[in-house]
Amino acid sequence: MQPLILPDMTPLFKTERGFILTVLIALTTLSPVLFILVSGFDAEREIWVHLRQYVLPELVKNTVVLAAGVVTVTAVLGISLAWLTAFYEFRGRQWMERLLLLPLAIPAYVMAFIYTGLLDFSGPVQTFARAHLPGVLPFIPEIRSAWGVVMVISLAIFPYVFLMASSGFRSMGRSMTEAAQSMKAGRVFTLFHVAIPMARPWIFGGLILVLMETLADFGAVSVFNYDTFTTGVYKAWYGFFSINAASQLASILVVVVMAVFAAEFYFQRKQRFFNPGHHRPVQRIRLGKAGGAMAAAYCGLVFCLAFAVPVGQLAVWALSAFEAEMGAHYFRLVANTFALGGMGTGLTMVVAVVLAYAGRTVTDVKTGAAAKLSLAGYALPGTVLAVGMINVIAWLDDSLVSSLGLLGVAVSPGMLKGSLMLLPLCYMIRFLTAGYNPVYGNMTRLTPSMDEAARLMKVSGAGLLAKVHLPLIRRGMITGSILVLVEIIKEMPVTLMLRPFGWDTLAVKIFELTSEGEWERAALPALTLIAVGMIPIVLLTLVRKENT
Amino acid sequence: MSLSIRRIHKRHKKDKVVARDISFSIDDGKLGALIGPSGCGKTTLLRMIAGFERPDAGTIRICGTEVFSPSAALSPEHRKTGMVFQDYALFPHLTVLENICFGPETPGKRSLEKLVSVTGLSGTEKKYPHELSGGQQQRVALARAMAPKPGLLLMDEPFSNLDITLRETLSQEVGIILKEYGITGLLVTHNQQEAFAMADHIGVMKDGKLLQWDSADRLYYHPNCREVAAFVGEGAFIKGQVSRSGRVETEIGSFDLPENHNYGSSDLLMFIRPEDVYVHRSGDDGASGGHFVKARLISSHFRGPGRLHTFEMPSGERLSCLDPCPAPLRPGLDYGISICNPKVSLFDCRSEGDS
Repeated sequence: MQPLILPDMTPLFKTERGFILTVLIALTTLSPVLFILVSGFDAEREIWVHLRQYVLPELVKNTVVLAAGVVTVTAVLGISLAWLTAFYEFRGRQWMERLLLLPLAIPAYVMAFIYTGLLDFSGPVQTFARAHLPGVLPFIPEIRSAWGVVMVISLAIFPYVFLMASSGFRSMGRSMTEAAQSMKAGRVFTLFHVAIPMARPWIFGGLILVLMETLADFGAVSVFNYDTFTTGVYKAWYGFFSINAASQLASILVVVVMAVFAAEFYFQRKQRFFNPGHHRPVQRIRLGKAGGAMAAAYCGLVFCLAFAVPVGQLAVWALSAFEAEMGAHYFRLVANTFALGGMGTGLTMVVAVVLAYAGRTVTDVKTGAAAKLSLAGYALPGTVLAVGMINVIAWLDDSLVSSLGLLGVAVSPGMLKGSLMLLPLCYMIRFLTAGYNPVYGNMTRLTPSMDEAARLMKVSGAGLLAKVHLPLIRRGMITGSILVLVEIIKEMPVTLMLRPFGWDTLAVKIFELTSEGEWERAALPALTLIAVGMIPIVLLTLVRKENT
Repeated sequence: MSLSIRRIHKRHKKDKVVARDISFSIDDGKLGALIGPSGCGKTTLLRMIAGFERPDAGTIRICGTEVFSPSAALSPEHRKTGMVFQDYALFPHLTVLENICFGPETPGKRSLEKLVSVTGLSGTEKKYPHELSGGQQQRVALARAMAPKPGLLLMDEPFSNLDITLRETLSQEVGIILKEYGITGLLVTHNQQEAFAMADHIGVMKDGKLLQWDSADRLYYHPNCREVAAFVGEGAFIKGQVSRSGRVETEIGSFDLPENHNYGSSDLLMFIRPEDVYVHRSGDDGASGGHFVKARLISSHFRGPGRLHTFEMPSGERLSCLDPCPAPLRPGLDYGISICNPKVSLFDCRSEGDS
């Protein structure tokens, strides 16, 4: 007897399955934003008046100054470094290209407390100067200032611009610079009139990432007591115990972030138009002795300030406090961190794989748009995400209590609040992109005709999954898991605001210790984070090596 | 009969009919081909035979088994078909041999060795698909589809990703391999030369309709409708009228009507192939009597064997002429042209698709 298939399959679910799943995921990841926007619209008047009179003006001023400052400094650092390493050959260039990515391993809040500790009145630099070189004292800048925050955050995240600008310069190929030279354009003229304009979509893409990170930063500005929107949201929630005030502040930030997100989408599309495909890479010009030394010195100086000095200082502090800190409570922190990271990574990767599968066979515009929206969470500042999630949970709690009440089941309100599941859910929303992109990249190798070919050879279902699908997307799943895990481990504000009692992580502990000025005690957890954070950067440089 | 298709009909959503009442069959060991412009429904028809898409009506029989009828359908893996996909669909993480032996029905050692050597894959067994050239990947796809000894081999644009020279040699070679194994096959292609080189029977499709299912020479010399005439090979249509004497009068002469014709009107279109047009060079003017007209040469270019001319007749209608003589003519001058084949194809001017 030959097996038969049903004469009629359910066509609606079959064709719309991908779209329905994608929309469900998008609704989940966007729910915090939707709740914040709604609460922003129905603002409580008194709170709003208070906020507008006493809080908002300073928050707006500080946030704008910070964003403008960081974007400017990272643009100068990132573009100049990318220009030197992309177009010129000098001693140590290959090393510098890789080393200059390492600062990404240092979370901005760690960078912040290191430099505060270093340059503060009681820090080693000022102490040394007071004792030996009193004449230098007036020239040591005051670190606890807008200038200080801008520099510290810039040092931590300039590699985004460096990385993107390098890609932009590389995408342009030899013929462009040669065409410019054949028309007798000088090097500087070529840089400003050919190279930078052509790499603009990449450079702007990098700057927008920087802008997102700056708007989202909570830890670094807290160390400096520099109030921005993210700390405003936190203080409104923690200090006034007002979820409404927090939501209203958050709604303003959400609107700004949405505009930035839209801009990023625009520049990503532009990159596609500008990329003329395969061509030979730019021939680097070999610098002379003096020029080469200067270029190497500049790259080395930035590397030292952004990585070597901070890590060295951390090592010194960690050693001095090693015996007190290395103990049961440290391992408890590490265990908590990895437990939460594991749960978050698991959930994120499940959703990432489902989303990638949903978009696999359907290529229509509406599914693509829903998928893009599902991934939007990476643009959300952590404090905003946490406040949004508190709103969502409060609503769910209410409706659960009332609907169960109708059924005659009495439940105490607030049962979902403080649940351990909240954090993995938030991590999923924020880091879905990191997990999705590698899986999706591998999924494009898995064409629909492969399923059909396997089926004709009598391999389908579980066999197909085991013999074809898993081997093909396994690498993407591993890469995605590592990236997500590292991001979660470095994540601080969401964990700080939503963790259940007793679930301190490395990042939260660093925040608590540094807000009390205990630099030495924070050093060991911070070094641990940096070590973990270097994993994806090493992966990234390996991938770059394969490509070139 | 290895493949027999009866009255297959399919409508996509948005009311686009992709298969309109299609019937044809292929005998054991023969190779059929479906040609037609892109979007004509030929790939959909192939996928319905494989079982990846569902017809709305009709029946499909493969090797005597009814694999589809409106009341019951066999799933693709039980239809005894193999398929060569347009993108080859090779598994990138498996070697050539692992690709060929992918399913549970792997051939024995002997027949596997023969298959590998016949398809020209000896020496590549342990390589991965990305290490192979396009032509080699195509061979792997063919060997993989043939390995489970399918009753019917389906090929969806199998050579479209190859460059032209490779396409010609490989299509001939594949034709020989299939004949050697006695495999019944169906090929979908938009390239008629490929179909001519490989297939015993060829179907021309347009807008979901199978216009004609015939041998290559009958398609070429006896197209059953204007669309087939226009799609297969080259040629031009000129106007003609049925006269009282029962002949067709055209600008370039009068012709006999076929014996059992049933044209609806007296306005006809005559289809003329370039090789049927004869140029009267100076000296033999008027040699062939009645079928003769003066036409202006518009353009003329070298065509390997001979030259291809385009003439414009006084009425403004144009004819192309494949002239075996390589000596150039002068564009702008008038030349005498005539038709040297009395059995030209005639079509009704108004309705489409009947003869």
